[in-house]
Amino acid sequence: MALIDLTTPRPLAEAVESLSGKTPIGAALRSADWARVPAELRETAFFSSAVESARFLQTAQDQLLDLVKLQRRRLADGGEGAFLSRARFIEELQALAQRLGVDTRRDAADTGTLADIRSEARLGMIFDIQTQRAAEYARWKVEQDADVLDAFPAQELIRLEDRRVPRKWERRWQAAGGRGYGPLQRMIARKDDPIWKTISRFGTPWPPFDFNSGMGLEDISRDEAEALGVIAPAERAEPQNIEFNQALKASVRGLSTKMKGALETIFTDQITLAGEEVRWNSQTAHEAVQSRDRKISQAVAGRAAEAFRAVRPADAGDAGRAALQGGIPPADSRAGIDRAYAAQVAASASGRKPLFHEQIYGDAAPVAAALSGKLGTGVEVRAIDGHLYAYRTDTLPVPIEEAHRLSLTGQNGELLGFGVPTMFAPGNVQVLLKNARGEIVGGFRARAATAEEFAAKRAEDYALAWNEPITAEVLR
Amino acid sequence: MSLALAVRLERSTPGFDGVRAELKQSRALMAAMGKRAEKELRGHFLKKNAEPNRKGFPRSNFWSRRIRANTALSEIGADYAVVTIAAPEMAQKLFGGKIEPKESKYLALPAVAEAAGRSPRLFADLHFEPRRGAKVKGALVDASGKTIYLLAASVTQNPDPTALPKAGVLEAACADEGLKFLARRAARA
Repeated sequence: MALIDLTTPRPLAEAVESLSGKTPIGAALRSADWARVPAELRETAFFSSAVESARFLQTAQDQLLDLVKLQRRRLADGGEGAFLSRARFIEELQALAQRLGVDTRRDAADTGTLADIRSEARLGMIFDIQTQRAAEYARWKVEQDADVLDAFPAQELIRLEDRRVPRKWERRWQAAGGRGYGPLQRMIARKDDPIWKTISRFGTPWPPFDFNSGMGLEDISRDEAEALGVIAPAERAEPQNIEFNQALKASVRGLSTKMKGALETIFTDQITLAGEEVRWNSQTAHEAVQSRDRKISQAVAGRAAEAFRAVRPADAGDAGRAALQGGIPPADSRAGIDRAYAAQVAASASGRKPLFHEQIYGDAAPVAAALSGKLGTGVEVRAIDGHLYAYRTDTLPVPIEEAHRLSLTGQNGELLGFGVPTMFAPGNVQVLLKNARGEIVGGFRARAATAEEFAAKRAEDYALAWNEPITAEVLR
Repeated sequence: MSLALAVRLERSTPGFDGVRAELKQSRALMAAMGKRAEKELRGHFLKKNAEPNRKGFPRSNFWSRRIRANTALSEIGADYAVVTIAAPEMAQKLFGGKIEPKESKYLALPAVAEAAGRSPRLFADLHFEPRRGAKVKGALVDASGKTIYLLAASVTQNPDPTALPKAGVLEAACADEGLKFLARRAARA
């Protein structure tokens, strides 16, 4: 007799691989348009119909990945939260879509339907489809094992969940060349039969085979498969091989010139067409967003530094010290401080943190005037009583007047991206950001439990803006 | 936590000792038995999914979407196979236990069908009303006075004795698959 026992918990490694291997691709394409993108390329993209915000897609992917990894959510105080639930995913992504201004409706009639990214139906479907696809891929991948295929060489398409108006899967099966077995005309085929890809809307041999289909697979053992005539005793089902990292690029050999042109037009710098191959430019979800942030940050930081320089020129001494350091001003000089301010302005403009704030007294109004209209769409610069603010209107969670009030009372730490409302609460620790020369370019106080996390984020603000290594040091 | 079920051959297990000796390698046997264990478990969870919701709420397809979909043969060795149920909810079903809120003061327990599987924040007009129960500390009520959620500081769930197939069922299925495997080997020889 075999022994069966419960062992240590573990995620499905292949499910983690499949989800983490996808690149968030923001595009205005709707489902029907995405269906025309080569399947190999589509399969490695994390996308949703008509969603253009890579930040939204990255957040959705990150949340689902934590669940697939069986990781609990992290709380603001550094503690462990609950596992992600479907309800929480819907609630948080709905709020994020509102904050980022992500709206996929064509008109008011789309509100609340699957065409509306803020609807429960749409977000619930994203949760279901993505988690199911990752798990089913994991199962399929392990199944491409000669011993497993020998013992269970076939599978049956079955209904798992009832639907009020079920699709006619028998027709799709027959249209794809599938046979029915037994008196019930069961939809069974060998596991290496191309029919599994053919019936799938997504072009993959693992479920789900369509949106909200309620259909799935049931293994058929060798004895049963032979008895039904699905496979002969001497035959073997062959392992299939689809590697996600191989599929990061796809062949465009079969595509028309028009389609190739369309891919370049639609995805612009997210894609590279080289000879007979097409590939996503970003290898990971994090890199995709980081690449976008870097572009925005560098452009904005340059403009912001120029505006500061125009209002607050460096003195001759600072300029001389900067010249000795390859043009980079010392961190403690006026120009160095403004350079740090410019990096923070850039972080707010790219949405990495909700707010930039500094009290620079009489310089606030002229700097705001110099920056006005130069930081990109949706970015506002305000001077209020000697305080300078820069923020994206779609990511600042409170009106600017409220943000100003919080600044005056020392309660704006969360808006500044420090992860704590007030920096001077008991138990907080000092964070220092240092450049390659060991100079302090910035600092703040944060909760001991989350200091490293926010220190890393703020260090990245500087690194992205000025393309130089910045280290974060937490003093405990 | 999630769970992993290991189908394991032991040297002292009567019957399989001789099999191991006969086979140059028993990995293929473990693959067949592990896959059968996966099939049995997924079949069991599908049956669980067909059970009606105890409160009469709409079906969430929990057993199909969360448990069955995340159950897969994940590892095959020379003398073992592992079937993973990669769903944190499974341990709670199997062992039961106390659930406390991690990210809010209270747990929101759906009181009506429209609240099932939905976050209270998706309702626009709910307000808090205190309740003086031993477990229920309050309620979220809509503008018409209808209670949508009950709020509790914790809930304690009993284990679901049917979360896994009955004792012996998986073992019997795996043994059956093992015997079929041996019969095939003999026929092919």
